[in-house]
Amino acid sequence: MKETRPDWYSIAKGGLGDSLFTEEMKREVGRIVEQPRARRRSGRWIAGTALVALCVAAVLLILPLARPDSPAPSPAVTDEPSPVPSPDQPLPTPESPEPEPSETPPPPIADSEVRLAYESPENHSGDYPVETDRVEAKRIDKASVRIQRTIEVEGAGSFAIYVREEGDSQLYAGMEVRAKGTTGHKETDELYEIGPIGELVYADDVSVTPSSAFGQSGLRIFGACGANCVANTWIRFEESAPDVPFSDFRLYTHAQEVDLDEDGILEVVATETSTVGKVQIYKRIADRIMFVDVNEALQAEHPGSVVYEGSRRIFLALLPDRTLTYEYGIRDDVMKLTDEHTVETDLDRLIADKAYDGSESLQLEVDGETYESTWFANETFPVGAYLPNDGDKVLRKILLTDGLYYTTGSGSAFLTFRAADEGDLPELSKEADLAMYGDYMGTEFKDDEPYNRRDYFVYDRDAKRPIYVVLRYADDNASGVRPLLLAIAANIRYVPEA
Amino acid sequence: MEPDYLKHVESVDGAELRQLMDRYGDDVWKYAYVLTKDREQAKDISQEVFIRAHYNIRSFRGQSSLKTWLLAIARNQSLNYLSSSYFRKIGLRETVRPRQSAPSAESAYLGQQSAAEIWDAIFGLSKKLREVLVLDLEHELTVQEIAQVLNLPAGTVKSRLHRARKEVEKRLKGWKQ
Repeated sequence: MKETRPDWYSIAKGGLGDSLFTEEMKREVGRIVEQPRARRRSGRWIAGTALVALCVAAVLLILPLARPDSPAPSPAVTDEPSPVPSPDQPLPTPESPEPEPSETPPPPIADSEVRLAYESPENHSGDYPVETDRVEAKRIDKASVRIQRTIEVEGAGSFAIYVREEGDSQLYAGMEVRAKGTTGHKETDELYEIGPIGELVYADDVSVTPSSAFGQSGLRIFGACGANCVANTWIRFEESAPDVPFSDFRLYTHAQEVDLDEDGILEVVATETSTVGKVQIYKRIADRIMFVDVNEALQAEHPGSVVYEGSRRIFLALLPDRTLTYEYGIRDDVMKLTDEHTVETDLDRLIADKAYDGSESLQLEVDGETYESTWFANETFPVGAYLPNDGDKVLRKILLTDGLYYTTGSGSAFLTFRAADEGDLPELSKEADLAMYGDYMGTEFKDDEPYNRRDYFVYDRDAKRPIYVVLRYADDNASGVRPLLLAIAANIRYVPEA
Repeated sequence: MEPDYLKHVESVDGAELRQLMDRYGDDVWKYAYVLTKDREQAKDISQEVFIRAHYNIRSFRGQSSLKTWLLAIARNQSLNYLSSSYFRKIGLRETVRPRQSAPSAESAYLGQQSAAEIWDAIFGLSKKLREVLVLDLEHELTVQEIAQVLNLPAGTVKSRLHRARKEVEKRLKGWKQ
């Protein structure tokens, strides 16, 4: 079905003007890129970046003072190489200089108890992956579409997954129209078209499952449209038209139905894994679907993240310098900081917040072995690392434009850098063996690849241009190759502006 | 015509970056403006997009067109701006008044609607509908390309586009009466 472009398009096109990206703007861009990493920003960018820098600096200075009994394991404040960060061992505690007090306020941190203000997603200025307008299914001829799959749902009926025309890649979901007969219901030649549900290549991933989200019986149709692109459509039926499905809630992200406040009614927790983790909670309040942006509520917006751990029913606010754990109140729309919350400084991060000091070599100590290592600046990102020299321990090393590949007697591994805005993050799981690091984002498993595990760490020394450090290796060889990999990562250095 | 050679390059030099800005600068500015409704922010964001393109051109794999890649960067930057609590709370917004243009004879269906009136109607749409409509109307992306920029199923793009057009027409008819 193709719609012709309306006549008024020709009137409107170009109505915003032209030559909007002016010669002056082009010259400014050219001037900035000709001075690598000495990037000047204008107006609010400067103010915002300066504010972030001041806040981070203040926290680094204030926190050690506020916690005099806490260990000071700061690889970032010593001239020694960062410790070999075995996940099984606590970080060492080298002495750190007494920091100067600062009058700059610390970055905002949510209160220990945060009352959640639910609001309508339609009236919100933010961008959320949700639609709440009512869409009623339309009857179409079954013969007019190409059915790819049929899914039977006991007690609910039969669902067709189809494309509209041969050669189309867009998948739709429809429900078989059944006619009442003397011996029960019987199939007809029609479908109730519910709507788009994904792409044809993901036809096998489509599922239709019973749902009681928001305390209302219905069905949830899940489909996929890409590696990190999914569609969830909830359908229900009304007494006045019990056979006609309609939808008033659709989410274009992963979602879990869970009774967060333990009132017997399931809420929906939506999780987005983009450049930062985002979480929203949806509730039906007074017959309207309302939501709360958990990142905003916990003051963990970009570059911070929020992760919902369904197995423990907790929300992790991943802030640049700490991770806080919250749980939902019982019969109360409130987030409470839990007793088990961890207040971590950057001292608990894997990657030290250290600038390159010009040293050409470093000794990496890993499991009692010493690796003579040489400094290599990365060509693409303002970082570099000390890489083990070739020899009897490192058999083969290949420098990549975005990182490194090496082979030791214990196996091979990759360490690569990736711009955080390069694309969406894959689905990540928090693995217990790295969870102690504040900068650990999570792990992706790709079972069809020999190096099937990828650990993502965020390196946000430049808050406007965060980088992901990706460690890639075979999971079953983690104990063999990962210690050296972590040691290299721990000694990544920021290259100051020229 | 897309500069195909960029699909496999590791970097762009000053002259190539200049070509990119000449070719796509207005597109990027317009999209940022439609999302933020803020000319100053559109200026900052569009410059930032080309700076990022310069540094990250190697991440452009040629799987989408260069234009959609740049628009996707512009969208990320704009949404970061919009999702910032600071900007959201102080509500930096300006009244959007697109430039006037002469009505076309083809506009008989809607009467003599001016471009400014149509753009007023477009800016009155929700952001979800507005951006789909503008990517279609102004940037002339295909449904598949819009789906790539927005990371949505193509069918959702089609339904949003349909609703956006209907909503604009409804608003224009309402104003005319």
